[in-house]
Amino acid sequence: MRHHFRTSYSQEIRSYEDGRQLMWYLLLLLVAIVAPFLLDEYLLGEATQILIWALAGMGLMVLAGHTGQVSLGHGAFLACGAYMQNFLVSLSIPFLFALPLSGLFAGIVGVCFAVPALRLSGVYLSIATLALGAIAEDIIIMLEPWTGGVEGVYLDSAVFLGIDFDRYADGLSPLASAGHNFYWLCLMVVLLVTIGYINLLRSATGRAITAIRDSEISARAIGIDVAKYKTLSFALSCFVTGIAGALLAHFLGAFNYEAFTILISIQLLMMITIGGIGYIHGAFVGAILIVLLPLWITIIREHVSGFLELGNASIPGLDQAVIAVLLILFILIEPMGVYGRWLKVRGWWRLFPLARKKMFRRHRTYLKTERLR
Amino acid sequence: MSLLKVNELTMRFGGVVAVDQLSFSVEKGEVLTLIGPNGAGKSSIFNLISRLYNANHGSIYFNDTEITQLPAHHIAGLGIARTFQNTELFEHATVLQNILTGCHVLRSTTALQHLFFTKKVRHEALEHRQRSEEIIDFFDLQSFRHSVIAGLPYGVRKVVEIARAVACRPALLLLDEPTAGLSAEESSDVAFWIDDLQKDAGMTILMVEHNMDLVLRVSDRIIALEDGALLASGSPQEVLEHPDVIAAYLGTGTGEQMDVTL
Ligand SMILES: Nc1ncnc2c1ncn2[C@@H]1O[C@H](COP(=O)(O)OP(=O)(O)O)[C@@H](O)[C@H]1O
Ligand SMILES: [Mg+2]
Repeated sequence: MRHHFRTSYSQEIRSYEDGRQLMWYLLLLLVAIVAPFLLDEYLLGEATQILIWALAGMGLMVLAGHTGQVSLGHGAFLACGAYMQNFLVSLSIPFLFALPLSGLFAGIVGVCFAVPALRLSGVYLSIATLALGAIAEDIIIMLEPWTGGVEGVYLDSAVFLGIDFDRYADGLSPLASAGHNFYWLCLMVVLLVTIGYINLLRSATGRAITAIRDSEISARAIGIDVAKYKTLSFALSCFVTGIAGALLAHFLGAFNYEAFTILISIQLLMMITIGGIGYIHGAFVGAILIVLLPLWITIIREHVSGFLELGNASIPGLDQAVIAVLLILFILIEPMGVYGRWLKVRGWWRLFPLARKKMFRRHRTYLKTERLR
Repeated sequence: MSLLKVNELTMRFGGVVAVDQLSFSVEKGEVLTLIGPNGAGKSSIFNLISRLYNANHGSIYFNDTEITQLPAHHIAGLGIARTFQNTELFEHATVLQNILTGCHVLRSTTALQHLFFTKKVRHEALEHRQRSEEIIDFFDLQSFRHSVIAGLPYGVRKVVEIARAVACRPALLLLDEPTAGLSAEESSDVAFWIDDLQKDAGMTILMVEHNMDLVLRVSDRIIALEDGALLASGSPQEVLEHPDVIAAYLGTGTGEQMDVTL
């Protein structure tokens, strides 16, 4: 049994529970930093992709997980970031400067969408975002001069101050796998965003947005400007998603509208739901699952088809189907996602041997009345 | 000068007149209780004052500034906090987080500063943490500090809601049936707290309550309502002995059944 014994308030407002937890996170960071020396080029590419999806996942998590405004069309903001990045780089703006600008562009588009859309709530807002995600493809194709239409675009290589950040570039160290410059860049961005996110959540702004998620009425009565915080959350969410899009653009090198179909939006939402909605960790867990899923499916298939002699014919849509089944299972069995389940397991160990089953039963949410009587 | 002044306030839901040409005022430092049968419009008055509902007619003044048209989120900042009849807490947050959220209007830092968790933010966070702890001590919530609301018993939730409302140091506290559903012991705790909030913290309290023991124990003044309109107002004794009030409560009657000891 472990117990947190605190002796000052500053121990409560810091971003980690105790020295032990901090040590684990620093160790994780260290492993992430040296990963290019440990992984081959293919796996490093997967790791880079995990970082990019975790970034996009954090973007959606602020909005859907912490503000309670579920967006089914975040792929549109991913596209905003990606195409803006391409456009800015083609104007020979250094790509590192273009990165935040692309995020900013996505954020502004997000706010323009949010201001009218936030009159809607719950499922109506989701439907509006779904519509946005669905028309994103058509808009991309229509804006041919900037987006290359159906053909798509090829990005110039990402060079900054003579250092090549291209995904396949050899990079700074001959010992590390190719593409590590770009990997480290992604890691840096993810780190900065995560720190900002943690800071936000432990301050008044974070409490305001989670208050809106849990009870809008109470939030207003406490003095929280609901419209303002929803818009802010939209802006931050789209900003981060936009940066993820810009990084994705460099990662892909060449892309067209197909990279931003409505399926991507839905996959993003499924990702954070399976990972654990309402937790920053959930975005990371979800990204790892989703990015590595095809790899796992391939491995499993090799074993299974060796067994059943099915051959190696590919099954279209298998990945999506597996994700969908996972999602359904999670919603039925563990709505708090992988991370939520982990918290319960950890809680059980911490209380060992005092834990009782009913301590971890799903919380009953009291019926909310529409009327305030 | 009255702290809160309500002038000829009217509010309708379609054909139902929830509040009907109602005027009253709340004096600084008093505990004023609204009584009346269910559907008399008590909660509607609270929702009008906290601007969750719009009045059809009439005006509300707080500290001599008109608040009838203000957006709801400005109200707490002016110094009016409230609880809800059926508790509206942040279910997924802990007791401490709920109380800290109640400190929202006390903050002087911006979202940008929060993003970087600057020195000022840190300082303010510590201040709010300290304030929350004082409130937790006051309401005896120490053992629930880190419990998530969704798992708490009803009685504790009611208290947490009062604690959250008090967090922003309001001048006027609106309590909508604070002891509904509480045990006798819990109700008497609430009576103590109301007393302390009035006498020590100098808060003015406007309350809706059905528990007559509590009402008589803490109220300085009572207003009786029926169908959204004022039936009687005055000292507890005056109101409870008022023939119209007795009639409203007991149908018709002589008042002898209303066995109140003052
Ligand atoms: N949101 C609402 N929609 C429709 N009618 C309402 C609403 N809120 C209150 N009412 C009506 O207004 C009247 C007063 O209700 P309320 O203020 O809740 O009374 P009380 O709190 O005194 O029991 C009742 O007749 C009720 O049916
Ligand atoms: Mg009521």
